[in-house]
Amino acid sequence: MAAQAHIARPDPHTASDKEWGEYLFMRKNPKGVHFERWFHANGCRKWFHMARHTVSHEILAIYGITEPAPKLDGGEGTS
Amino acid sequence: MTQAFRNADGGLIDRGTRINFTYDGQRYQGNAGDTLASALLANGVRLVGRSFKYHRPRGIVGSGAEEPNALIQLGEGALTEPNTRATQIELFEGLVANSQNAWPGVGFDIGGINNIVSKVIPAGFYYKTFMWPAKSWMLYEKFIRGAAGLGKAPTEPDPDIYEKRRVHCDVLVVGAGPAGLAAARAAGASGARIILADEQSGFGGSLLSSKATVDGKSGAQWAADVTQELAGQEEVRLLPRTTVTGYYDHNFLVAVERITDHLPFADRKGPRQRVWKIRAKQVILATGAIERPLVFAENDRPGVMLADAAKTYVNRFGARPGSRAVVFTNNDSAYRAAIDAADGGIHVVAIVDLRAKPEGTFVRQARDRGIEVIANSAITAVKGAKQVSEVDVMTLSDDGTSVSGGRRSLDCDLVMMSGGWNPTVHLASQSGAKTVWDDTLATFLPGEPKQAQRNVGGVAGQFGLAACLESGASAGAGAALDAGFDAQAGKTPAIEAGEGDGELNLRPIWTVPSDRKGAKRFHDFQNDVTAADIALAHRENYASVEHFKRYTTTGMGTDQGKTSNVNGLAILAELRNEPVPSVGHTTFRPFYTAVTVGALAGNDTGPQLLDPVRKTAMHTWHEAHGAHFEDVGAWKRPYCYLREGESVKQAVDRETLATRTSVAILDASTLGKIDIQGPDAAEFLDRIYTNMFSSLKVGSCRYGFMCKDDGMVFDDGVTARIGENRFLMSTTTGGAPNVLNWLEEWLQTEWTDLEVYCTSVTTQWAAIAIAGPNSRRLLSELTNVDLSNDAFPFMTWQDGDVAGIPSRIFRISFSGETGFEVQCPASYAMALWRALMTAGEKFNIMPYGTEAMHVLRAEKGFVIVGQDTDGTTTPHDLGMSWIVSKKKDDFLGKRGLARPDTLREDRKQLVGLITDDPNEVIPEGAHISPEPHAPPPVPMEGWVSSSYYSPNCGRSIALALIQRGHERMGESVAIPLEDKVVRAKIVSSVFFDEEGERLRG
Amino acid sequence: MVETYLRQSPLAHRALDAQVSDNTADAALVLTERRFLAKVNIRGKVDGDAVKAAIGVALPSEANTVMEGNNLCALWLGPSEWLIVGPPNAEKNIEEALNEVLAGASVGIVDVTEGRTTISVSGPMARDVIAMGCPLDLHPRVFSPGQCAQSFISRSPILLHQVDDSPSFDIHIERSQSDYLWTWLETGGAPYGVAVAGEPETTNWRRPARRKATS
Ligand SMILES: [Zn+2]
Repeated sequence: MAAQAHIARPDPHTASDKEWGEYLFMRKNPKGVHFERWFHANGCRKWFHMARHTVSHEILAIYGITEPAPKLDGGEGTS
Repeated sequence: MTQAFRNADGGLIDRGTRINFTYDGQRYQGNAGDTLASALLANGVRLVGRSFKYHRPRGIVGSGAEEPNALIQLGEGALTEPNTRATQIELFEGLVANSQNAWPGVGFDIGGINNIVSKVIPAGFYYKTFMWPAKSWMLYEKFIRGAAGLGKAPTEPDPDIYEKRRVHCDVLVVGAGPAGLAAARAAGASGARIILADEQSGFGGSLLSSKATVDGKSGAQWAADVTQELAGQEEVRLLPRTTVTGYYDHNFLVAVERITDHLPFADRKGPRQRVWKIRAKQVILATGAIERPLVFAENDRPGVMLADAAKTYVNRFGARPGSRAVVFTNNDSAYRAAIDAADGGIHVVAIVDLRAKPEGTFVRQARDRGIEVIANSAITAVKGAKQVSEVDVMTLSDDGTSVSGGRRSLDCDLVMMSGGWNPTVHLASQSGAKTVWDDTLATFLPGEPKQAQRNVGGVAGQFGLAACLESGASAGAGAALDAGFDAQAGKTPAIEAGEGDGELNLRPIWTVPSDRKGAKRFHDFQNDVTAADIALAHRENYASVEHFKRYTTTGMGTDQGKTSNVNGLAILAELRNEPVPSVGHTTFRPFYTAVTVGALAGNDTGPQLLDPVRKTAMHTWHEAHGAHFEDVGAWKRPYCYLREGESVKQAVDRETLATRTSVAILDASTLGKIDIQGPDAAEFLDRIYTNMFSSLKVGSCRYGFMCKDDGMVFDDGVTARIGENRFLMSTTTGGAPNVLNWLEEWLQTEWTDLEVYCTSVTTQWAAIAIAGPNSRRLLSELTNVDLSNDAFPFMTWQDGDVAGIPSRIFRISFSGETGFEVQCPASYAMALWRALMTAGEKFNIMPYGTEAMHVLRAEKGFVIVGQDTDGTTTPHDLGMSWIVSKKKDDFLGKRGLARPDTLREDRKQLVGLITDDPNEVIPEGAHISPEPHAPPPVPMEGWVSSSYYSPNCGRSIALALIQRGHERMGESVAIPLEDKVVRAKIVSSVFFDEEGERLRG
Repeated sequence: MVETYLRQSPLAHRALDAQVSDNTADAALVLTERRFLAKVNIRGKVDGDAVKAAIGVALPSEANTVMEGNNLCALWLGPSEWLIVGPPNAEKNIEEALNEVLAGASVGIVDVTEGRTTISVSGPMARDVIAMGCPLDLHPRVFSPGQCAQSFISRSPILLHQVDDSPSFDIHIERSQSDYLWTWLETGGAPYGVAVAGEPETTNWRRPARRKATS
């Protein structure tokens, strides 16, 4: 299971409809480095972060689910 | 039959072991060590098939996986397999093979008429003629496929067994020719875990068909010695007869091992084939190279063969593919083949060379032997219908585009051609590496590796034996080193001086000119594609290589263009006046060679193993009592229990009525159960569910809805409070794993401050629902727990023994009847079930299945998430606004439910439907239309989500999601079906006992 | 007291006792259902010393390893999650002991005995047959006795524990899928020879003797 990482849930009391809609539905699809959330379904059942290159599928970094994205060459790619 | 074309000695076959086989109904003999192709050639059989489109007679072209023509229908009956290559079938006693693509036989073929009318079957013909109108294609298709068809699929179940195996290694070496063997030897010595795979029966690759010596012994002997050395190493796994067919991400490769295909049927035991799923730290590709045909006039006549293939038949099998050979080449390698052919008893009439001044090691050797070299010349015609009888040779112009001068005819029955070599870059390309064009070799080489991978030997464009051995050893050591082992390349084996350096000195002439206008010059034998077809595609502006491929069908046969692709691209490049690399090539995709579907399935076939099956603790009871099962997720659940002579509908009706009139029990074990503990458990549930759970008292339970954060219903179930900080959540059967993952996701990623621990206990507890007016009386006979309404009110639970088994009793109901659910430790569930059935005899108890459960709940208008919802349905849409808390500050879905789209008035809302005809049961999924007779696309306003015959209502009932449904009570709507329009009235979704007296009674 | 004869293991319908072979030495694959092993799941902020004192086995902190003690195994399942496996009928006592010592702590202790069974797989082909459907690298250099891992076989989730280097493995499997897994293992091993072995003897579990409070 993988999905785009580092999407903050806006404050539901103050978020506009547009902000809430973006939080729910809008996702990047970069050609390049992508920061993702993964779930180790067939193992320890822990969520974790992965920086992955969407072209080569190379795994560039693995980091904790509460940690911020590391700085990587290639940036976030273009969406 | 005698083997008239078998040499008295030489080669690697066992002349002492004769093997009988049948080809196209005729019996022949070969020898142990033969392939079907070499045995046929030894018997003088040259004609092996008819071509795909024109049904031209075809002979054997190659000696391995590249073979485009000799496609064989192998075996008979259930064991038959189409599209195997004669060049790769090891001969075994009793082998039965038939040529394909020819009816009634290769000698006389009715489809051959296509050849005579071939002017009207140019490239793109099928598309142009038969694709429009679409209906006509249906008519033509059968005829075309019948005439063109590539073999026949077996019609009986495959009796063989297959196996899949995962394996990990430090170094995977693909290909066991000189480079691969040297690599495996260097890597293996380090103690690393090595896999060496080769598609052939024996290791050695080109050494098996070469006369070169290594370290003073024959190449084959050296290969055998190295193989033996490797076999003695504990961590080396040798996989002969194994084709690595796919190269995926992260050095994951798939290989297919043919374990018993080479054995007589009586000796075949165990799995026939094994799929290896290999995870390698390092990969070395030593996949070699495939010789390239020359594209010249009538080059598809039987008897025109790749030069190296002819050399292989002579050297390795002692079989002569002809008696009088003309060699046609644009490079040096064919000279070596010519010399070996001559040594093997073939009269080499001449070597026709497209180059002006050929002069290399082997050119000199050939001349020294007195073989005539006709330089600066081309073969312009090949004569002979079913076998080559003569070729014409003319002088080539300086620019290589035309021929002139007198025509010289050479009498021959074999043409050995060489247009250079194409490295087998398939796996390298699959791994993600770009290919790069090499001008000297005029071919594509694998570029910079994208994974932990190395290329050695022929695939890297190294055609000299010394270079292969050296690069192999160095790559083997390097790979082992990178995998963390101490490795050395070791001493490179000694090679004879006369072996040459592998230089080809090649002159590419992609389309060999001829004075014969209209003579077919094939570049793709299997798909019958000629240079003229490429020109047509180019003229019609199929400019992109992907379009060109599909238009001409170049490379789309079972051989996937192993001999044709580079020639085709180069010809297209010439027409476009561009260098080949800027034309590019189509993507190399797995599999390298075709894989039997059975091998990919492995053991995972049949009703037991095709999919994982989940069974409840009472499963065998259900089986023994007529259960008709349905799949719910991976679970097998009784849909109903069939009695003698009963139809499914009768059984469902009986079970449905029994539940409302006396008592019936349901195996509800499959519902998901999650144990939720921790100091923040109540707060957590308040955030997960739309309704409030922190206010729930210990000993009580509550029905809850979960929404995704967009406000759409995602799962539902009853959750009980077991303790101050402990809850037992139930989920839908199919949703259980998703719900658990959902809970974990929020706890781990967003609400990391909450101290809550979730554990699946779905199968820890078996569950039996007891429903019906007699349910209390039945249960009270088996327990001391006071079940009276006052002592045990609706939506509470209590612990207690039932039939002596420690259980938890819940006063809940999904049927709308007075009911209980008893949960007990799963290993006692069978005993509890039997006890209930026995005690219930006096009430005429019966088990009920999922369909009766569905009918009962639909009668009550209870929704099933996933059936009456579709991911765009809110609790409000379902008419269940009461379950959405207004008090809570936040919960998943709260903000989503306030989005303008979620608040729209024209949303689809859940209602009941009753058909005008009470016996009409609308099919579930049917659409509801405001204009059922409108021309397509017919406008839609909703759909039927649940629909049953209700014996308790005495009529059909349905639930539907209809736009603005809640305000349209009493309205008539139309449901267009295939053959009629059904009319129904919108009603409340509760059809039975609207007050709920039975439920709480 | 509940009648034990009423209790049925997940593979009871296979009547495995009747299939037990006298000679399992020649079989490539030897299968056994280890019935009713006690299994208690622990999650959360667990005081390892307290657990050790309460039930006699320490909780491993190294990923995918197993600690043994007092007739129990503690298997690492994930960061802050373990499975205690013990002899039949020990689950209630283990759960009670843990609840006692961890009372008030932020933990989740759940008896999962009934939800799973254990299939013991041994014999010379044990690794190979498991590898027919399991992606783990079971080579002795990588996976050895005292290690465990959650993974899958074909499409069933499993918890694999290597017990010894004969080799022999305990596969803990969700009870509803145990029948599928048994068929799957038997089918995979069939070409090489499969035998059913009797269940090893188990003893009753006792809580460790309580040490005197030091405070
Ligand atoms: Zn993990």
